[in-house]
Amino acid sequence: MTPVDRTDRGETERPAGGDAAPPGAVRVAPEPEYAFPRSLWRGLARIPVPPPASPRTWRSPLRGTWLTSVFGATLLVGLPVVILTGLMSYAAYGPQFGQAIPGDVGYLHLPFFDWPSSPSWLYRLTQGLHVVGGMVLTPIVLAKLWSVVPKLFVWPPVRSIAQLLERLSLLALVGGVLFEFVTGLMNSQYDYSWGFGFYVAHYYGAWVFIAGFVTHVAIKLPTMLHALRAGPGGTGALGRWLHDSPAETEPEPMDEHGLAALAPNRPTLSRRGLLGMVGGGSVLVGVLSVGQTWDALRPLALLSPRGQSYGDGPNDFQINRTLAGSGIDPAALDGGWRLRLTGGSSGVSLSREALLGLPQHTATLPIACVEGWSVTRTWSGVRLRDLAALAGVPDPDNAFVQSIETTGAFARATLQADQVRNPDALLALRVGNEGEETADLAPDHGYPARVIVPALPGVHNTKWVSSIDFRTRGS
Amino acid sequence: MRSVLRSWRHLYGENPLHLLAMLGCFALVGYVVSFVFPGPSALALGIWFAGAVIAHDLVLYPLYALADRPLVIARRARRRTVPRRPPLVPAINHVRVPVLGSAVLGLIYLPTITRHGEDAFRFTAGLDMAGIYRHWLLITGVLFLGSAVVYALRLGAAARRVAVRRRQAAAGPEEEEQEEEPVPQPVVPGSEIDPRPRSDGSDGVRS
Repeated sequence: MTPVDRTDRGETERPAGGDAAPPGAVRVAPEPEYAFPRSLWRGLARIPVPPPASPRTWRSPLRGTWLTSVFGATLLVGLPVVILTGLMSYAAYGPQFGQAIPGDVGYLHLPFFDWPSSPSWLYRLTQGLHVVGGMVLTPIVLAKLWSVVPKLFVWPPVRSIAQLLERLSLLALVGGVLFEFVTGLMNSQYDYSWGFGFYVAHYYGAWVFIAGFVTHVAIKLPTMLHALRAGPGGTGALGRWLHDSPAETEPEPMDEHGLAALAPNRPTLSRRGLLGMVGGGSVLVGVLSVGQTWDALRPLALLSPRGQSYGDGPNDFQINRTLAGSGIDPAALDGGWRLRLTGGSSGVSLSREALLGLPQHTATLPIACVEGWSVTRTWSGVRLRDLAALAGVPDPDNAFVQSIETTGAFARATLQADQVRNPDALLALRVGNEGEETADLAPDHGYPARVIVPALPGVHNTKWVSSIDFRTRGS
Repeated sequence: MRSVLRSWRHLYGENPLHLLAMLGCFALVGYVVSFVFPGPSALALGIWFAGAVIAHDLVLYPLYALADRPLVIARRARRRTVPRRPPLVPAINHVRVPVLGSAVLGLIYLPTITRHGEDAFRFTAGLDMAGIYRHWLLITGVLFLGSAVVYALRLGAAARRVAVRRRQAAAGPEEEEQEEEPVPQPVVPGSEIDPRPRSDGSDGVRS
């Protein structure tokens, strides 16, 4: 080591110098700009601080404005997809009927619209993107947080009133993203150890995160764009940064954003290598998770509770409420069961045999859960619109379906007019694998009869149906 | 106008739009919070929200700091065990990749691997989570094994290159120029040993 190295860098490793960084070049943090009350911040800055507040704590030569901007740009694409699909799920639950949770959200929702019942894979897609997308983004969120960790401990902690406010707003951003990812991941794995309801927490938490996210993007977007365009030393030679081998990798230059290391280690990983590692982590998580919502890949969902198989019979697919869990007396499903149709001038009561005597329709539809899993099955039964006609309400505005179950939050659901009218919307009596013979629904899947509507969130496809009330506005 | 802006900046530290964005953020957060506070779950929500931040900072911060110090850790480990000899291929990333892959899967699927959600899952789905932690162990094993195999292959290739270079060097001095450039650079990100010739004549071992 040269003497210069020793005095200016202490024990640090010299970065593998290219031509741009002459050996022994001293890295100096730019003097921060202080605002009112200046003397206070300056006084704080003069206090010597131990790690982790000392700028020498953070040594990675890869950290810097450019790297954080790459992660930021990725999340700027990915997170809005997860946010929007999440808000769409709220819309899919039918807030106009008061059955989305939480009920009264003021202005905190997408403009109300009737959730489409076509294409049938719509909810499967949006919710699969929401859940699997969130899982895939997890490594990138962690990498982004790793890349900015020096800012958490920066000294002095505040340099101006503006920065004080900004750090407070970051609580909404970082707290929001962590809270949403933790609650979402736990919920999709049935871990409810919170002491609050998931829907309420995840929905309002999302809006806190949205507040932090939008603000952060508004403030940092110019920085990000500039860093991405500028590249190494403002040369715009992004290719060089991505093609450097570990030995050629130079630390990012220090700038006023305070991410690049003051005393960087010698690189052990190239930029390309780091981005590949983070991206590879996302791919790994994606490959092992997408099977819960993609039938053919289910064997790959090795870590997901929904990757497990019930077998390969017609009724061997995912259950979200067992008969035992529903608290229904199994005797209520026997021969004495009747379906009541109301809404017309006189009620209609049908036994299962009578339903099987009506024209049967077969449709291959996915059933997709808010937890992110979905399966495709072939369902056969009576069209809901035929039942509406039978009840004497051929053109209902909505239909209220009630289960024999009384206790659960999803023992009833209201269907929109287009969901009743859809030719594939069924009161299903039988189910089977695609392209195979169907069999009677198993008790766990809603025997004697269940609703299946294209693109409807799984829990609203009511099982063990006892009655359907077809309603017109004003009635 | 310009001087007004300048004195505003001296006072506040950023341009006025920054303040506008901040106020917008706090107003929206206040609006959201007004739906849950006061309410029965407000306390639990607050604890989990703050807890997520604090747990991240306390649990992941040391890990981040550790990840920043691979050299120090590697040097200590090597001093204890191995005689000083430049590694042909640095091993560090062959450890990093499987560790991080396994850790991120373990973190994402923690409730399933630890069977924390099992009771609720049995109630809703009629299944348990019993065997899933084994899948995680299996995947972890495959990641490490795959990484080790790739490392062995790279090591073999590097050793062969060194052997070729030695043979060429022994064959005759006229090939010296050739030998200089392409071959073995067992370069060595992450080792403390720089194999390139050094001007100060030292062996490149940093102390």
